[in-house]
Amino acid sequence: MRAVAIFVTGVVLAAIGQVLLKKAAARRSADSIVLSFFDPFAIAGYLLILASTVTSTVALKVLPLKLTVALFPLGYILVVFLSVALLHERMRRHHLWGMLIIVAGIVIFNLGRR
Amino acid sequence: MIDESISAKKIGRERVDPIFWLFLFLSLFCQVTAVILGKVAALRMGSPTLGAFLTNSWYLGTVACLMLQAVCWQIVLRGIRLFVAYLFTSLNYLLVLAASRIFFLERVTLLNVAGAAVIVAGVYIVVREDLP
Repeated sequence: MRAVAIFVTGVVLAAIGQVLLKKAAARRSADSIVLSFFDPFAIAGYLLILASTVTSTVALKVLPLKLTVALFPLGYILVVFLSVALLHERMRRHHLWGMLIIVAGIVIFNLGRR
Repeated sequence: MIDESISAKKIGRERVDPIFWLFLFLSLFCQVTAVILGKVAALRMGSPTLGAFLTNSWYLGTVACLMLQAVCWQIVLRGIRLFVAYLFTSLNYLLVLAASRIFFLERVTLLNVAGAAVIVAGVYIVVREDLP
């Protein structure tokens, strides 16, 4: 249970990191790409993604495979949710269906690792 | 023209400059190349010391690809909605699967192939209206 919590924390950190990267990209759209890497949002975003790699690695050492199958697509769902909730990105019904199909595909794909 | 763009935005459809799609493909390519080079680096590395990492050209190639991917991703996020771009990256399941079979002769199961096909279908549904 603790490993699941650590893994989910990593997924949440990575998703928030992506939102921060998007915020940085939107703020710096007129600047050079190099400058956008020095945006505080971009720095925070990359730090969160880095932290998520550590938590995921720690969790994956002990998590049973059957659980990882279900947990892997979580990141996609969370990024979509945060994009709509925090960045107010417009989502249509076909986007939702597409996401659900992708999630199903990832689960099927990972079942094949057994 | 302006009215068209506004009404398209209202229903959640956005005109995306093709250059951003190009960078999204490039970002995906860098991500997959980094995975492949990382696998080669792991296979050719002895004990994982700091020196072994710094002198392993395959590992340095991995780092270079990831840096290039970060640059591409920053450009992508300037023009494509985060959720669309992020869902698109799930195609790396298909590309890594193909690479693992072609370059490393790894075993590929029917479920792997079926899952990758379902992912491609899902990505197509997500991006079909945003494609140029």
